[in-house]
Amino acid sequence: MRRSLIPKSLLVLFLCIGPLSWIMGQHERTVPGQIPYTTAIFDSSFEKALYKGSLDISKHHLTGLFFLKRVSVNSVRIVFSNEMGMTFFDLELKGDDFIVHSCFPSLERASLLKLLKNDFRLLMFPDTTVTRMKPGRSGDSGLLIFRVKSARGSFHYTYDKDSGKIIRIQTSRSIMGRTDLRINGDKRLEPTKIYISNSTIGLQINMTFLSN
Amino acid sequence: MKYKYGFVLIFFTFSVSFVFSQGPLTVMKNPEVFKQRFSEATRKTQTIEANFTQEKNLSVLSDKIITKGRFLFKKEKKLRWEYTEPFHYVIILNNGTMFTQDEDKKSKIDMRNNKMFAEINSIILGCVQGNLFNDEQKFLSSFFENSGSFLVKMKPLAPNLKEYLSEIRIYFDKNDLSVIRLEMYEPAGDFTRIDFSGEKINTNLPDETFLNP
Repeated sequence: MRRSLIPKSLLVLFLCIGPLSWIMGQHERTVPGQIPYTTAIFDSSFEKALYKGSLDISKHHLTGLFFLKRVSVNSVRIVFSNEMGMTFFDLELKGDDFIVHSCFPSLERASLLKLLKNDFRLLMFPDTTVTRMKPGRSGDSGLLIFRVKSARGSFHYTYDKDSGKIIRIQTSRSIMGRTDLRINGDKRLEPTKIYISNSTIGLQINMTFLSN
Repeated sequence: MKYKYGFVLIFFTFSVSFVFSQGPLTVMKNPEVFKQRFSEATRKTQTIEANFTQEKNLSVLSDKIITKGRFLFKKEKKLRWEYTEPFHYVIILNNGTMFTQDEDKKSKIDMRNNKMFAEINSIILGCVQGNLFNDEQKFLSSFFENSGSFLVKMKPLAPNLKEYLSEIRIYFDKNDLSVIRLEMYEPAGDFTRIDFSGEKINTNLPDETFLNP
């Protein structure tokens, strides 16, 4: 039993370090001297941010404020309320757990909540389970595309070559459809605009940065 | 019918801090007299303009989201909430129709086809008119006072309302019976507080103010 642990440990070590060194290698080869590629959209120093935004699901068009806050190292709270202050949903991503603190009855659908869980996890937490990153083709010389495989699934990550920042994540097609997450920002820590869509479920989220 | 459109709020001229420093609130001695006085005071009010500061309190996170803007009301059922800080957003409620302007995006919502907005509209209009506590089928009201203000606490009775509102509190100035503060409590513990200030009564507000912005 003890002997069999050693190769497993090595395998885990390889899976953790392998992709990182591969990414760093790609970084050096393609964008020398620039910021290393990362799977984080929000920096680890992120504390909180307020976004003005809207959420379209089926025939509902909801507008209001998204409040994102890190409540611990591995926990982020996402509160979406309308302009009058009534909470549409209050969600928490805590490690692998997903806690629905409150949710407006008409939004309390398993498929929507699952999508929100996956999409906000993509947005808020870097993927530390990457097992493979393969360069893809980009029609834009200013962009770099990687095909990424991880425990979360398969994705296309698009990076801005100059800043090294993620500007788009697309999930591969699945029963939940295909999520397209786009981020615009300047040199600030937080993205200034976030756009999430899933045509299969009919979900669109637009967020514009207001304040910390 | 007596109270259907009879209560229209009148906003305060005293500072909120002054009114709220008038000692602990105790059960109101005679709520019927309060209702009667309020009905008489609001009968003369045709329009209201005021500034508002809205504070959304996220209890668990110990954070507040503060927004500010301008509030307009015109008898019978016309409301305009114009948020100016930290974003620009306009909500207009006009006899069953809701218009919104989110930056450049304009929307028109017929609330008869949208239960959620219909409920929100009903609550907002009832709150700003001050007649929400008269709806005994929807709310269980209790009345309190101190030397400077009246407080009406309303607990929703309808199951669909209970899902997203646990209590509404309306604070009135004891001198002129104007609404000075509105608080909406949610079941999860969050609440929104709206303080009104700088009111102007019975100014000329054109109907166009309450049309699609």
